[in-house]
Amino acid sequence: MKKSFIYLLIILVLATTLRIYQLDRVPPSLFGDEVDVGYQAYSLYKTGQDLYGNNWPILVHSLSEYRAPLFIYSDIPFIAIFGLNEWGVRLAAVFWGLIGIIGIFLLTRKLLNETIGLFAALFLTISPWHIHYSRAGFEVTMLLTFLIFGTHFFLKGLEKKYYLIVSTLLFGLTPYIYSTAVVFMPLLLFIMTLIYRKRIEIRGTYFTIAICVLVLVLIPYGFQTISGKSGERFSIISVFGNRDVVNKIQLDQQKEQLPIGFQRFFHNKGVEWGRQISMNYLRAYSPEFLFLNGDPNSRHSVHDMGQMYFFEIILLGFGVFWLLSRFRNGEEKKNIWLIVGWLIIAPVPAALTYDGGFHATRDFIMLPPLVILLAMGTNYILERTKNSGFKFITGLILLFALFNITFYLHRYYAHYPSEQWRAWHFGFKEAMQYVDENESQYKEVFINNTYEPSLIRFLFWTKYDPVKFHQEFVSDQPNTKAVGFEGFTLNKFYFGKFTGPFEQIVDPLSLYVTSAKDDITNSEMLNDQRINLLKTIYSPTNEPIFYLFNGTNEIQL
Amino acid sequence: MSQYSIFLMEQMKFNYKLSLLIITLFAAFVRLVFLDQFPNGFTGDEAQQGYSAYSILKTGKDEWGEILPIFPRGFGDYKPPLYTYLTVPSVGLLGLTVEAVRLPAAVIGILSVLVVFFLAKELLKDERIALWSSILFAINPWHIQLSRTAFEGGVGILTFSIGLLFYLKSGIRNLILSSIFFSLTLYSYHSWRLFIVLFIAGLILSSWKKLISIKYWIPGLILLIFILPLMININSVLKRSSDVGVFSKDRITGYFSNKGTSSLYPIVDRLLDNKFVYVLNEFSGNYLSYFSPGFIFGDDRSDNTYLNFPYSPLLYFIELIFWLFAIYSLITKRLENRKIIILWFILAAVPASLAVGSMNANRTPTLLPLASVISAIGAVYMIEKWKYANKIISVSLLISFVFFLHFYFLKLPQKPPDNLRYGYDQVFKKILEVESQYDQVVTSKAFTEPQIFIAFYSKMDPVEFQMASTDWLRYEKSDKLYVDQLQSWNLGKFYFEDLNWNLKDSNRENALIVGKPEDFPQDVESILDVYDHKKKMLYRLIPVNYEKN
Repeated sequence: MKKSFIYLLIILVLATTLRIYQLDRVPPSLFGDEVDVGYQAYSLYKTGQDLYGNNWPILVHSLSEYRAPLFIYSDIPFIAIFGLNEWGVRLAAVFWGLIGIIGIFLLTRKLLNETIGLFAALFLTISPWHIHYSRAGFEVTMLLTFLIFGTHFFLKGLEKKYYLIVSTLLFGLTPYIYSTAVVFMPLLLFIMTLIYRKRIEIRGTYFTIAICVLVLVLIPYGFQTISGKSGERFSIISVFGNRDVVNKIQLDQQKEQLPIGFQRFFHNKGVEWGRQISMNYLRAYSPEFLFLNGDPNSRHSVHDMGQMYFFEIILLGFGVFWLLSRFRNGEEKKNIWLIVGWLIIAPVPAALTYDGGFHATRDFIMLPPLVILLAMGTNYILERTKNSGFKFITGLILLFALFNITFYLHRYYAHYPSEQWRAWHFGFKEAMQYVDENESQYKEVFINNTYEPSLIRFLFWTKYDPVKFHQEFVSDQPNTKAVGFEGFTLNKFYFGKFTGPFEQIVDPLSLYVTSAKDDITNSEMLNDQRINLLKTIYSPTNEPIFYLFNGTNEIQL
Repeated sequence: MSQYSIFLMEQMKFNYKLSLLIITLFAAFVRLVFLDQFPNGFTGDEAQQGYSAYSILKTGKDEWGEILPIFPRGFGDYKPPLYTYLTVPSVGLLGLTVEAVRLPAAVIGILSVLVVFFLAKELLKDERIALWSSILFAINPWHIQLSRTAFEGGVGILTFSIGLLFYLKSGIRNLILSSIFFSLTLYSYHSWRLFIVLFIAGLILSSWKKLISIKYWIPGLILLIFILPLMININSVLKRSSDVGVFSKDRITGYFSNKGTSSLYPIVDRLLDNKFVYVLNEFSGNYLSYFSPGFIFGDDRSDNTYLNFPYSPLLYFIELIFWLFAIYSLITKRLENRKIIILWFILAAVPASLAVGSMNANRTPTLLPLASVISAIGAVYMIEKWKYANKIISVSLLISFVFFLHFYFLKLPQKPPDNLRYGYDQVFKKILEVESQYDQVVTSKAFTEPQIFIAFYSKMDPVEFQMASTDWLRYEKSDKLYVDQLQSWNLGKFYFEDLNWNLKDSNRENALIVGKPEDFPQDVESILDVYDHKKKMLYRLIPVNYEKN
């Protein structure tokens, strides 16, 4: 027991290093959702209210949507200690990632054995997928940890029944962390109850209490769904609500040459949904996604490689082989079924969304069974390395692994930040910090709101007092027309866009934060005499992102 | 096994042969019905197979004047010859028609359904799996579509299956037959060519002790005899790979010259990114893609060309579940001939992976009929385990098949895959209808291999064609790969070149100009305009300075 404790400690040190090194710079900057998490946490910390003044809400009201609250709440201590910056936001994810690694060790140890448990922890530690999501304010890292521990306590509950209550409590909280849990968690619970039905005494007191706890915890979420707030996002992104699907069905039905009855048989929502969902499901297990290209979204993946390392194919193969051959042993068989079951249902929530084919965030819950399979494969190989024939293979795999891991680390730390600055909305920090330092010199400050919604970035980087904000904030819809500018106001800050040529309205007493992409389409415009360029914010690739200027003394009306 | 099930098996023993007959007849029906209309389009490759066979039938030489070639030039792609020779009797019987060109593929497809029963039976020693293999193969969406087009890949499916079937049976006569059919596979299709070489190498490596015995020497010799011409003519064999191969020099040099500077030390960079790593990377990426569930059970393909069978899965989605159980069976049970099945499965995607691009269904006919056999293994496993599995599986397959028929006969013609040359038949038939009125017919190079369509639809005398084609051989001298890369060439009064209305074409005397709408000014009069399903104009036939005789 003691030896493995030391190994685990080493693994955790490695995990921490990988996740903390240059955390403020890699990924390159806080993107919109992260900034939102941070400022909401700050607002809650200072005032106990979210942006819109709701007291300790069940769903946090952000500017464009309602968000699952638990990750934001968990960020409060980090914001309190480290302040409104990258560390304050991201350390929460790092924290949940590390707890998750401990969790996968405990869970795998319970399911199989301690050695495999350690390997599982190791693979999760070095997993590019897990590293990526532990280093930014994504909720899925926290979700994964809760799911892992929920399962772990469920298994503990097979012996000591009161743990079942802890398990369902954790599971019940998962929809408050990230929405895929709404689909996944019930499926997982159902499968586990089915697999272990003989051992948990379904009609017993503890299980009943556990289910009651689950239902109680979910009631507030249920109310929110009925009132439409939490379901809103799903209806936009799901396969079921998607307008393209409905249009396609109508079009197909029109083109159909068969009689109407047949039309409906071949072209209906069921068939179309089934088609989309099954394609999405198949893609989660495709080599393109896992080993070759990863998620096409630049913010979710490093590209040039898949969600996992290439060498892990070999380990996965051995793991599957080993898994299938172990199906016969009695007790172990149940645990194997759990791993298989998790593997089967994991891509389902993502498959239900319209673009869920290669989605690294929504498919994040695939990681535990994948990592366990990798561990099983490694264990299998190592056991056979005692036979000399395998030593050569093991050596090769190790070499290959080293190659892959170096490639990833180099790509992630050296290239990714400068390549993907746009995906991470680089530039706001510098721009808003400038505003913060200099705003006292100006009567008004006009900030572009078309490139990205700027309000939340402004609040975060200027460390705007939430109390003030709650008093001053009216709406983020355009409600003001200053001369030549249309948007909404907060105090002396305007967020919106120019309604005409801005050279004519610039004023020396006003500061303008403009977007290179949207406002200054041609850099020649800055040469105009009426404009006094104060600062340009450049990307790591030396492209201008923001131009900050005020007017010269020639006032034009 | 219970008394009842033993009783049932006895009953069913009689039924296997009958069931097989019914299945084969059914497969025949699905593959033969309206053979000329579905797929909706007749391609240059098909026309070439037909005309080449016609030429051999009439003159003993192919359209290039080569006597009974083993490496027919085709368009410069040096197609393997077997399909062409199989088309000769078909064209002889039915004349130079679309059905005649596609009939060999259909017949071979039907025979393959029959053969897969015996092959599966020999592989797995289980008649139930064999019958299910036949059923699944008969309704397989990939194989049905493949059997209805003049595609050489299907020939290899049959020859390899028969070859393997005889290999598995014992006795020297069977081995000789096996080696003959394996050798024929060498001449069926590019992917099969490489596959059979690797497969035999794999067989030798995995059971070389067994193979040393004398009874393998004669078959071995036969194989060698058949391989010899390939080795002698290795250039034409490799011509195709120089165009599409991963190892192609041009591609490798292209990659490295476009790379730009790296941030790593030169030595490290050279170590991590050299020719070997590049090729390995490309190969493994391609290879893995062929095991993508989206590729096999969905419609993920590299493009929408007709041989990639777009918009349709290669296997039915439900077969995914069969495959899972089959993999379980293969790993945990000591099935007969497990090694051979696994060898086949691993090697099937190798030839395709050596070519550029991934997820190309046209390069992996080598997966058939193995894919259906694997599904059958899984299906039978489920049937043995669960009482109602049989009914559920049958109903699901029936529904899937009905949906497929609906897709293939009703929906696909409305959204035809790329490169089916939709509209060509209208264009060329019209040209031939009116050509006697003109001194010249100039066809745009926008058409692919237009000369073959002229020859095919006019049932042109092969002698005339062979005389014209001798001139076209200049394409090889100018280092081009295909005939239609020439700047211009002609077949009698039919000229093929890029159009230029203002500079030359409008000034021709008594000519018919055939091209795309953008080749002509808006206001010209045409004798035919061809449109696609979306009412978009595709081609126009414009007479110029026409003299009414």
